[in-house]
Amino acid sequence: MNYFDYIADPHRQCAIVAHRGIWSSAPENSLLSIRRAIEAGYNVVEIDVRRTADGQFVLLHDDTLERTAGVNNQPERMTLAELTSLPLRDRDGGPLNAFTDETLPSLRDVFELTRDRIFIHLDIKHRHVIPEVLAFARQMGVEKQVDFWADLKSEDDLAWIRANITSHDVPFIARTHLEHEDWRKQVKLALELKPLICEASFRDLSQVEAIQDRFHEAGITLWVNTLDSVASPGFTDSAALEDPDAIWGRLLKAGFSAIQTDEMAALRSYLKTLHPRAAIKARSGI
Amino acid sequence: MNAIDPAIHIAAANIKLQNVSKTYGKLNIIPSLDVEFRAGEFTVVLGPSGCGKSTLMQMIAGLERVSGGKIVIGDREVQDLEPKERGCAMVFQNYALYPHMTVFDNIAYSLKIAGLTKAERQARVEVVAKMLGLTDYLARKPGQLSGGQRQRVAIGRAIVREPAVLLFDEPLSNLDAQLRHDTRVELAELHKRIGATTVFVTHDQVEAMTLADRILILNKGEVEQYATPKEIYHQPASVFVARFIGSPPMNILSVSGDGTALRLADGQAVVDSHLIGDFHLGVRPEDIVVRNSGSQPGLRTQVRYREDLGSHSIIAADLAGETLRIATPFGADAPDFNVLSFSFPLDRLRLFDTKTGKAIPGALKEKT
Repeated sequence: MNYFDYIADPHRQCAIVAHRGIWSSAPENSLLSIRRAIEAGYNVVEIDVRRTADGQFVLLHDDTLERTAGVNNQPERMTLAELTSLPLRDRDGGPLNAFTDETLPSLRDVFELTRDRIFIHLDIKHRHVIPEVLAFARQMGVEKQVDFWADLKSEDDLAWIRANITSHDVPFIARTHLEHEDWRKQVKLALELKPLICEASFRDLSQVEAIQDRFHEAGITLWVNTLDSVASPGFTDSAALEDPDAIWGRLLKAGFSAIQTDEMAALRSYLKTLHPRAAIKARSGI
Repeated sequence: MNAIDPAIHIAAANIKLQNVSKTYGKLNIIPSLDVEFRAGEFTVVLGPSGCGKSTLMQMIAGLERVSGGKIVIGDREVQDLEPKERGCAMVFQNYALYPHMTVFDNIAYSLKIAGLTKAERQARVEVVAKMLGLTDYLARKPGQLSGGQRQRVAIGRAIVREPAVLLFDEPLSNLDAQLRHDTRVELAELHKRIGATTVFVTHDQVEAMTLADRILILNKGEVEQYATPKEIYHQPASVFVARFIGSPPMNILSVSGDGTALRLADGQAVVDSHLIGDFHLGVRPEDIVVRNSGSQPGLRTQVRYREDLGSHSIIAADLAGETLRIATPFGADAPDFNVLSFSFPLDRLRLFDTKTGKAIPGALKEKT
């Protein structure tokens, strides 16, 4: 399995990216939630990664373990052994969700589970940890089954990404904010770097329509996030559940061909209603 | 049920779906489904991509919420219960075994989580391993197994918990043709031995015909037909079913009734009938009777080509502007195949309404 080949395949349908695994009936960022995403056949699973006190890696979104494991401490201050023995609360945690039999997973166990089965979108919470995770992924032989992800807002960012990520020939996703004042500069940087994928957020969808041809020519795949909390204005999972055509349909037409969502089943059902060629044509701007 | 009893005991439960629906806003995946999967039966849910079959499965397992309606397993309403509380075990196409665990640990994992003692786990896993021919592989890791063996581990992991309901979501799709066949036979035997209510989702009609006690055919989230394989094959309830089952599928011809006979577009009478109006007429390729002599009365057609398949031959012919496929014994002595004379046996014909596509049973029984 090779992330580059998958993304570049002109015949593939829109990629479904499962945010933190399937956590509607399993703890987020757990082996079970990832296993369910594999079993459901989604293309990519997003996970959050942090470095432990002893230089290992675990899955956790927040700065502390409070919400998901009920422990008021930071993962960076604990060892791998301590962290992986902590039981996780169900779903998105908090006092209302009971503890489960799932424990906080190590990145090693996740790579073992996902190897050759599903691609991983790595949300590494601190940029300086990326080179270490990259080396670890390479050591485990999965460096072309995962992506690395970072903001690309300045010349410094560009230099850092080149030195630490793209020069290692691993999949990279540039985070581009079209809603920022300096969005023209960010577009210019993305076109200069030509990453495999660009995750774009926007103020107005017409901004994406305006750049999609240039990105397509540069071989950059457009990726969008419709998670309620971080989506571009109006383009949320909740809105998509009400009217998938108006949200996901318009995003596909604007040139996106990877969608990160908490509503994977709905997205897949929607994609099945489209003519098999529709999504592909929409993507190539024909 | 005694957990250390060395046999696998399954109390099969029926599954009732009552007005079950699944919608995402304006997107209607399953409008309203009423169906019962009988206790201990092997039901295959069959349909094309996007028909809602996987969604239906996920709703039974509890991995997807229903938008409306009830799911009753045995005597329990389960639509609001967590997956682990429903007594279902599921086997997927993408069986995600834990690669760092041995086969034994993969199968025993759920028992460990359920709090069974080591001795209990050992006993149960041994029984399941024996049943699935995995006894010699228990110490290995999934990476050291073949695709078929891995799939058997995934099945072992599902049945070791003695679920009342076993759900399979296209479990054979990733296997090659020979392995698919072998695993299919194993699954049929396994079902006979453990007797769990089994629901098996596939788009493969061969799997459906060979495995099912009963087949549920879904189209756009609605039931096209729910019947035994024999009924589905010989008495398809609609043109959709007729075209979905059989290889090649049932021939569907456009005919018009003039009160004396049903006629093709070129005027040839197919069968005597008092019916008036337009219909679709279905006939299975193997039910068409080819005549050796062109002198007998009957339908005539221009042959396009013939495929010899070893067990039988398929003749494709032009009939009143439509393609007719006829199955004959391999190497059957037939005239030079330029012009073919044949007839349709009345008791093998199926008539369908052109507007609704639904079968009109009994319409051809009475001759005028």
